[in-house]
Amino acid sequence: MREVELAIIGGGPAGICAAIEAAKYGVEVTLIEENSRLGGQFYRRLADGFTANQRQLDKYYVRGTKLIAELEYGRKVEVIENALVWGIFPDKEVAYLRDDKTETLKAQRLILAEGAYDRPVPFPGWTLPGVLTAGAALKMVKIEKVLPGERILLAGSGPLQLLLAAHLVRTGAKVVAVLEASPLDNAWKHLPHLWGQWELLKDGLGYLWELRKAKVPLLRGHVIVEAKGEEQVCQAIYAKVDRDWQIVPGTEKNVEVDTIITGYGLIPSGRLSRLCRCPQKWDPYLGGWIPEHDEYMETALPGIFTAGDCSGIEGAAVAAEEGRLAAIKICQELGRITPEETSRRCSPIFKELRGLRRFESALNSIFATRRGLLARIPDEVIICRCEEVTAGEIRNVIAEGITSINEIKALTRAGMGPCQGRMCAPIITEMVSIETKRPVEEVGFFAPRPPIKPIPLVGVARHKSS
Amino acid sequence: MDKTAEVAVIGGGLIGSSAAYYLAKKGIKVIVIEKKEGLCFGASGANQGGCPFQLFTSPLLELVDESLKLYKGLSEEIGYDLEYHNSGSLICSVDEEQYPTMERHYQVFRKKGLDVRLLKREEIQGLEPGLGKDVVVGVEEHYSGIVNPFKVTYGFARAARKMGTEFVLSTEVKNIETNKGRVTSVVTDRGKIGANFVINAAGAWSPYIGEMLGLTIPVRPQRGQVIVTESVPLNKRWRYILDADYLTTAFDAEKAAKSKDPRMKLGVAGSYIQANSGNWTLASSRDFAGYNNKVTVPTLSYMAERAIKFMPRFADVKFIRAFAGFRPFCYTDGLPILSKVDNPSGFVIATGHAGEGVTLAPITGKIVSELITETRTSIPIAAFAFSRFTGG
Repeated sequence: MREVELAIIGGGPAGICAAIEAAKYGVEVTLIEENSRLGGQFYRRLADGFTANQRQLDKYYVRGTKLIAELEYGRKVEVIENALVWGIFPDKEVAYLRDDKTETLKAQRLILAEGAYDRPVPFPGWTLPGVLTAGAALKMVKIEKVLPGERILLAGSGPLQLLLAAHLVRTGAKVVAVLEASPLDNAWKHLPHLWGQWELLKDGLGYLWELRKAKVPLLRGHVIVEAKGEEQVCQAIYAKVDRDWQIVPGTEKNVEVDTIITGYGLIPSGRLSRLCRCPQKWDPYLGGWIPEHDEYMETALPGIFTAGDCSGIEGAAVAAEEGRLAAIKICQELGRITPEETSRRCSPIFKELRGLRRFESALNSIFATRRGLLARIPDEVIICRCEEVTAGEIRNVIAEGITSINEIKALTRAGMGPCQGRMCAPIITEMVSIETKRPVEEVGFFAPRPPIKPIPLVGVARHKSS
Repeated sequence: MDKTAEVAVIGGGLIGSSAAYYLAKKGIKVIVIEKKEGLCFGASGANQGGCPFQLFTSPLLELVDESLKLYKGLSEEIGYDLEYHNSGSLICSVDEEQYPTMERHYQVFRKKGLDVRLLKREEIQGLEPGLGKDVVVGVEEHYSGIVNPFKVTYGFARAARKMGTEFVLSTEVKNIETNKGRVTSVVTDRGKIGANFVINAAGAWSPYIGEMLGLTIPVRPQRGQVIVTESVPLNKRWRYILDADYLTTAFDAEKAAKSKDPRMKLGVAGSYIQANSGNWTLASSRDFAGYNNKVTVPTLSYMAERAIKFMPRFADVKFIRAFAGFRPFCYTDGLPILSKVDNPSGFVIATGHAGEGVTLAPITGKIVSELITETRTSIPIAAFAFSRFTGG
């Protein structure tokens, strides 16, 4: 089997920066990316066949372009695109699907930069066409240049939905309102932590200004309660919430819409780290389950590193620095640089990270999902979309005394579908915790199983041990 | 957490739950001890749910036959849907040279007066167009079944619970105490459970329980890997398809290990089951890797390749999950151990079911209950006695 010194999985900000950094010291790097282009969610490239002049593209797109160019032309990094890493096996054996066949390689060191995905929040009607997540919507507007609808309601929390709303307004959609679940009543307490992060603050204020100009109402302390419609969403019901994001009865209101976009933040993608059996810890402010790691991003399993949003939702700037840290530490472990050199190179990164993390942590304190949001999911609402398992069916099993999440999976089939519980696992975990009054840490997560995404059987049958 | 019961069952899998049910039915107070946080976490939850019939010879065949009969009315008996389906099975070959083997196989069952059919390539194609042209010959029968193994374990457990059985989870057995040649209690990490009888239903871990009493139980974990596909429309005729090579990999491990074919060396032979949900499980593999329950790329790859050979349309079907479990394999003769032991008395062993734990769960539970409450069992079990290893 082919062996490489460092394999990086995921070509977003963390993966790209890690690759550039490690290659500087002559480490043989293989960067594996699932999509056809590097960039990840944040630096995502335009779809094939699209062009745009520089003015139409935001500054992050331009930054992404520069970084990718540096990676591709400046250094010796092997980039494998269109390759889905579907499993990691003992001794850091990485199996990926490319051109309908599985290839494997062994890596001395691994960086898992799996990224994150939109947090699913179920409510009656959430499976109707016309209800989508902020990440999907952002990709449509920014990259595919398609409008998701004409009369759009945004519901969620955090600055991402402001950015999305601004993009939608610019593209000519009617945004009927932005519902911000957080009441923001304590937000002023966090203001000092935002000090110094002028660029990020300027971005946020810019979006707010744009929305104001377009007369888009921003309703604090409100959530989506129900989506109504037959074939397609035609109406949204929203309501006020208390500090725990529990709906305040009697405050429901209707609005005619054809699209509802939910943006309740992100969940770290931890499937590869869990597949490797890296010990995990629960951190609701960082998005949920994350692999335990040290300050250099090395997980509890020697030689396996984590970087970017999969190690906690902290945004692209933090992701990039984490990727660099991991790479520098790996260079040291592989004997390319001395420990002194490592400290020298890492200290400005640590300093930068302190500022960025103070900012991100303030945002997370304000906007992280509160449990009230999931406390009252009506019984008839589908939780597992793949297997169409409802909240009621899950509660029935819990009521029988079955409270371990893997047993719930076995008996209800929730999480047994093609998405492997990517969508329903976070919801079920919270539900079990709420119903059984146990902390989420004790509830745990679904036993990880390869492949992390469905692949055609022929792709496994054709195995080239490259 | 000190407790007492008439019978303590070690292991909350299929066998332990079944034993608890059949004992509880006789009015006996049972406590089941399981080290994991839930039931069905070992081999019981890592299999295909197949209950094959036409794979066995005497004495296993009689045991299987009795168990399949029990399965037929079980959902109704315990008031819980086990998703039992009398699927029958087709065992078939993609190798012209196996024609005589298949014919002999057919004759064996026909001579017993069983309803079996020998089918040739064209007939097979006609009956199940999804099967590939490489499938040259097959034998069909109507006795095999498929179940949902989780539902079987929980169904038994649920029914037993209603009759007073207690399940203690997240509890590990540390020792078994005896007095004057008789078991008296099970010592766990969470207290002591006094019992007159102790049942070792710990599957692949049963040798460790045996060791606590100085007994050598000749069982070791045999790893079996399984692929699960997305749901596809149900097959018309056969939802349980077996590869003729399975007769070798499952019942002649030595021959498989000596094979020159790398696939056979890994113990890979086809066993394909389509559950009521439409998902296929594609197996099987048999190898010895200690207690390492990880799946491996070469085995998954051989399993997938083999499956596509039997059913070419699998090529485009999505592979959504893979897992491995430990079959408790008796390395002396491959047969289960269903037995009391002479010393200490009160200790009952129910393990060594290899790949047949699901198939044999009902009859095993019934036999265990008879070993404890009756002077003799309803069917002969001498072939499964522990004394076959000790010469007693």
